Amino acid sequence: MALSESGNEVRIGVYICHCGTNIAGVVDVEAVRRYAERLPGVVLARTYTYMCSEPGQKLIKDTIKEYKLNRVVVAACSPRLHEPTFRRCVAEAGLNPYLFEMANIREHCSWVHMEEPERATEKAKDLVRMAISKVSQLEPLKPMTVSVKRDVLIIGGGIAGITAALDLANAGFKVYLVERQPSIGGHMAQLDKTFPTMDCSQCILTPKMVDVARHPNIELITYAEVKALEGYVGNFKVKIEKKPRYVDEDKCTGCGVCSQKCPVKKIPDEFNAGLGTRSAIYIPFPQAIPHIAVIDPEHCLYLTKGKCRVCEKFCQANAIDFEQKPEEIELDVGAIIVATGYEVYDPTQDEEYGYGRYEDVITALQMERLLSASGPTGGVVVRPSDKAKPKKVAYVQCVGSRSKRPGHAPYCSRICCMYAIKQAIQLKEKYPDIDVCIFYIDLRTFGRGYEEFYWRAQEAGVRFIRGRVGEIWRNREGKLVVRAEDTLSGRVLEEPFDMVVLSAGLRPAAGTKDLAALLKIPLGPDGFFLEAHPKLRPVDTVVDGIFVCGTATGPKDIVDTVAQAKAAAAGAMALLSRGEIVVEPLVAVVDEERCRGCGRCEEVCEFGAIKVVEKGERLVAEVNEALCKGCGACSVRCPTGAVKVRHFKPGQVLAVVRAVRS
Amino acid sequence: MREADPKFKLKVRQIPGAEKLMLCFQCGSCTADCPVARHEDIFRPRIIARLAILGFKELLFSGDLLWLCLGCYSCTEHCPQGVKPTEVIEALRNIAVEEGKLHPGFKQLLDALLATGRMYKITRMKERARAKMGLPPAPEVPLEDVRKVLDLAGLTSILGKASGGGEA
Repeated sequence: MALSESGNEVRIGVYICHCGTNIAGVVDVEAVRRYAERLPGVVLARTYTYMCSEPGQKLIKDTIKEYKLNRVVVAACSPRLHEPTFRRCVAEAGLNPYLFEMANIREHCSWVHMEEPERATEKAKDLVRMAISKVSQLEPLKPMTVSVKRDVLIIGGGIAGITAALDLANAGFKVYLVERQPSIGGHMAQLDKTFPTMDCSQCILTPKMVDVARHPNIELITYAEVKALEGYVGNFKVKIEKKPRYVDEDKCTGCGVCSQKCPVKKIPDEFNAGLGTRSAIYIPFPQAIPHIAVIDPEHCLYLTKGKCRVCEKFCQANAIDFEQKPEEIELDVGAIIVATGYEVYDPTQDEEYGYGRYEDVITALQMERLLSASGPTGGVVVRPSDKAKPKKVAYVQCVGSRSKRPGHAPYCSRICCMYAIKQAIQLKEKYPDIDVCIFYIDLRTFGRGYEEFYWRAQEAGVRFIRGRVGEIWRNREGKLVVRAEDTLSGRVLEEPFDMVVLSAGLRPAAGTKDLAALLKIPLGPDGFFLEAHPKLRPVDTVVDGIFVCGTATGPKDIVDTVAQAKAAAAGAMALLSRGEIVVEPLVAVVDEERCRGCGRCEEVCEFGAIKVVEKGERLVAEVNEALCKGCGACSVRCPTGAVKVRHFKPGQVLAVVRAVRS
Repeated sequence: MREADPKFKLKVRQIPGAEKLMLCFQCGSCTADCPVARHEDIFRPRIIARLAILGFKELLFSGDLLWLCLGCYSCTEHCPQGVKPTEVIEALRNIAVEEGKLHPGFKQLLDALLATGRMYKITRMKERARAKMGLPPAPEVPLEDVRKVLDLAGLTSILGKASGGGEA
């Protein structure tokens, strides 16, 4: 008779899954069953084709009841797949779900030893024996509930952040929307039209921006950044630093007079991608939300040299406040959504294209500003060099993308084919005689209505040449000559153009690395935030309670960004809706009698989950069960053996080790 | 119809430098940058890569196609896939020579090397120019030693195999 740690009799049921032919095709499951049935403590051993299926689970439940089992071992696939399934199944039969152990005889056995079935069968027997040994030592445990705050922090006020904020606010959650720039809107606010519908970008975005500003459940914190994060799912403490605008947000009416009167005028304008200029005190763009001025401390004459103050003189609302200091804001939130967006690749290093050397070589975002009626030229497309209207415009695709060269990204930036086609159509509609030629390697028009959009461009007379551009230079007539091979005809072309637009790719937004370190979420090899699973969990991160959406995880169009933002909002809602969440109890636990408060556990804990506190007259370690990940570092370090991790206590682990050798 | 040999590319990519041949996705960057392609209609590094991948050896080894490359490395610098077309062409030339398909122009240069120890003749005009500039006359070539070294390097056997390449 086998005994558990507490001395009671264990009655173990062993269930061996065929998993179709995944396991049974290599491992002799019947032999493993016969073997298991004879081991101490095992009351019965059964096999079935698909243990996770309804009939499989019914078999487990029925036999638990019939044979009064008090321990269950399932030998099947990885616990990462079906541990929750079987735990639930066992619980439904009235048994504590933590008196259950899985032996992985698929990923750890049949799938990796396909060429050696006899040895795989022996290994499967070993694995089952180890699981039986472990399960004999397990104790019943109860999951813990942790209360959660129903407020959500969204980092980033572009279309992703705005969409998530509105969904959450409409569902009754309080949202803090933090945006680094003085206005929300992100890159979508810089676009003229959106593909493939040719909707005016501002027209579809600004109503949402206004909704955000007006929504009673959304607190908009602009010109601010997240500086520190503490806590755990449902209970995050965030520190935000709000930069000083030097303008009182409650008093400013957004009239814009200050900007007109400001003597410092020729600052390259970020909103116009460097093509326009602004003053030192400015409102970022006409539809900015909040519609409040901001002073640029690097160019303001008063803040740099102590002179001027003209804006103050002319401000009717008395809103200028040069004494403003950075403000620290602390927030308690239950979930965080990262929606920090992207930035455009700077093609200056690609000398062959002449960006930075020739004024008339621009990026597509800059062309977007030229096309835009609220742009620096009022929507008239002219060459930056001489303000002449271009008669021939070339588009160079895949700039900085799909390349192994240093400084380039290996990924495709996904939106450039579509935005180039969009701009080409716009140029043809504005200027019917203009010649637009797109030099491409492939045309990725993958979405709904996208291929039809490409036909529209072809019918409008846009030229498409399949050949990656090799070099661009200015000839004696001042034209920009583009050299490429037309691979479909084999001809090497050298054609003069008036303007060249580089379809520059997408990169992670500036500051992504720092934010990732602060939030303790990982980045992928491409530098964008890493999702928990690329297919099945595209908006979760590996940290519970932190979600991510939009271009923060990689290039995508507005359609996918909005869908992900809604998904992230739904994820946060699901997490927080009941006011409490259930957390697995497989965490560290301190035997206070043995603990002498030395603090070595606190030193090694990466998660800040165990700390030495005063209890009565003693110093003992205390575990924050919601923060604890059950990694076991504290348990290893503890010199007295006071700290143990439930379900993986030394006795339990050693039982498995001994079973290996027997 | 010329036969394609699908196994040819596997042989090419064994040669150091040509390992990434099969990554070529025919973008044309190489040809767009090639200084020779601008002036010679038949020379296209992109097409060389394609023929190599498809295994059209006969087309590949005929005519001037493989032999117009200057080795300037412009293509290799621009290739987004890391294919290194310069080194692929080098590898293909070596395979061609092994199969006796050395280009006659190259053969002439190599024959001259073996005969005189130099690839280019030092003419009397050049000697006079040297004297005018105050330079000593061009040094004598230790022909026997040069021939020995070239022989050890395998040049004689290569020239022995060479049928001269020539037009297809």
